[in-house]
Amino acid sequence: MCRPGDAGSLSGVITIDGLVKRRGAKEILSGVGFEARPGRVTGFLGPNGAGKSSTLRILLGLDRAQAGTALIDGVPFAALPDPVRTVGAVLDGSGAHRSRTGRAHLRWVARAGGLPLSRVDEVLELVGLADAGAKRVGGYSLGMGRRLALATALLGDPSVLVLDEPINGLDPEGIRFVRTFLRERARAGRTVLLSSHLMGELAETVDDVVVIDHGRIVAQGSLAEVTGAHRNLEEAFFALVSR
Amino acid sequence: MIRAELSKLLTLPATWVTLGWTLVLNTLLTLVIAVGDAPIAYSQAGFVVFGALAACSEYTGGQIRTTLTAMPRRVPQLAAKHAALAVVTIPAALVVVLSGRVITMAALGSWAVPWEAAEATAYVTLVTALSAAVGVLVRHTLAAVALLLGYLLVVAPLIRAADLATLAIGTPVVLAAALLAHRRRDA
Amino acid sequence: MRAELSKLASLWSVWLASAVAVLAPSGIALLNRGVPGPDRGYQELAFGVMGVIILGVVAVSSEYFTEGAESGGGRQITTSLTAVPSRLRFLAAKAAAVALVAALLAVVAATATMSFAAGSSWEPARLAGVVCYWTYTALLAFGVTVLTRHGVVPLVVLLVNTSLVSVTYLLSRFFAVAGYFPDLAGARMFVEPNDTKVEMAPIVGFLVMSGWVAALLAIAAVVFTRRDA
Repeated sequence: MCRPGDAGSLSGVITIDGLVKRRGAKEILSGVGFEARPGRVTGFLGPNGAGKSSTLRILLGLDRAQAGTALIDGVPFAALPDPVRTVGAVLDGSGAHRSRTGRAHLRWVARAGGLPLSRVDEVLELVGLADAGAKRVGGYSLGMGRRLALATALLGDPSVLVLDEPINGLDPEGIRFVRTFLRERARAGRTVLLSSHLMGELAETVDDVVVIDHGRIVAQGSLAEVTGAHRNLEEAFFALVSR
Repeated sequence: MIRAELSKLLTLPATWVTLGWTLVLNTLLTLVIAVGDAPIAYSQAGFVVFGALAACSEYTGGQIRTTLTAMPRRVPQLAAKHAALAVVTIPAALVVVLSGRVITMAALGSWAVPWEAAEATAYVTLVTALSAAVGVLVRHTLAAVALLLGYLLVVAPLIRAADLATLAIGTPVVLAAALLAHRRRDA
Repeated sequence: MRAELSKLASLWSVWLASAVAVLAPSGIALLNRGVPGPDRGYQELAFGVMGVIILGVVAVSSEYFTEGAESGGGRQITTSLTAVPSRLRFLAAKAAAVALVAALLAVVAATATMSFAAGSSWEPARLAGVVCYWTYTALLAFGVTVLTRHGVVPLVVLLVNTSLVSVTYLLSRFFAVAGYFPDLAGARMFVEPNDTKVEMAPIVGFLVMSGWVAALLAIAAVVFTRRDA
């Protein structure tokens, strides 16, 4: 089995296997399983309501699955010895209380992860919010909120990044920033897992593709494998999810 | 973790607004109508709001997701939140209780140091902890405040349960229920 | 108006409010069944008004403030005002929905409570007073919340004031004029306080409380139509 936290090595394999999630009578996930590896950007594709967010929430220990496992370096997220330094997560919205300032928000997260508070200004600078740090989150625009969420995820300089629809709500400049940034992370040997329903935006960013529809994985592999004989990823996607 | 929770609590403007108004109203009530700890019966409402807000503010702007990805072990996380809450509440409660006392003593001219002040502080601290636990259970500030005030101001006095002993037994029970619910449910 | 009713029905806080409104007075009446006293039943109904306070507050605050794991802090008021652009009509429909539900709850609660309360007779005039008092109180809570746009403050102030010994009652023992506060005046419609400095007939109490409600709703309407959503 994998041993987490080998000193110095940047591991960060995400292994998801046989996830089943029911809400009431409805089965949202029926046996979802895939892998995301270090050094690659893995795109998690699917139409709205296919089960992307649920899978990521289970991976992050936010929701409970009825069956199956979602592991990071061989252990569940909640059992990681140092979650903030291992995984950074960007889910929808800013993830911050609207009456706190952006800087105050990052400071409590830094304290929770035992990180030096100097990281706060570093990540604010990195995502381009250095001037808005003293502003209340309630006064942020949608794009600024998303940047704050990204800053929060980067606080611990984690080996794994999990992003749910990261380019939603961003302006073209922001989209380009996120894209190059994620590519750089992967090149540096980190794991990047991002979900999206925007095929066109994704094709230029990802190495591997996992396609989910109605709570089932319908295709997975490298970008070239999944695209196959189709003209591009978008057409391959519609061929896969049309029923 | 306690420092992270403390930092959350102290950077929330609502904390200072709530506690400030509680002190102001308690002073006014003491001056106008009552003697001793009686105004606490009303100004405990401020601490109810404070406790409920501390718990329910997690559910504004999706902050709970950030909290649980930064501190995924939920039972220690909630315990840290309650510890941080106590760190803020106890001095605040002491100030509110003593302010009422000092005004009363100045008015009556007697300067005995009363044991009841400690009892009132303990009562208010427990009320805050209870409110945070109910807040965790219902995850909605208004609903939590309404339930708690209904219980503390009408039901408890009517069934003669508005004392420190009932609260000292009831709070840990509700707290345990909150921990269990928090651990098991989807965030 | 129908849209406002369906908005209310889909808020679970409203169901909580209804439960409080009906169960609190009837439950207390059940507990106190063996204890004879003046105004049994009517006294309990004075506490049940807590339920309609919650109703009035939540009806407004839910437009401004959302909490929950999934909500991104959206303000429903923007949607509401683009659906019903006339603010006055929007406010009137909402007030009417609140008043209707409050009156309905009052009738149900009064029926339940009076059937448990031993030794009190059904007096139509007083029961009409109860219904009127509940409706007016819900409208007061509604009006105050329109002004504050946030539910916690009006909820706390109004609920604290319905406690066993209310703040306004204490005030009225020191300042006679406090007897004209809406809750004390309105309560004259169905109970006679035993020590008081202000003598007031039920009809006068009704008029005083009506005045408060009318004034508050007028202020709320003016403020609501003038400010930014």
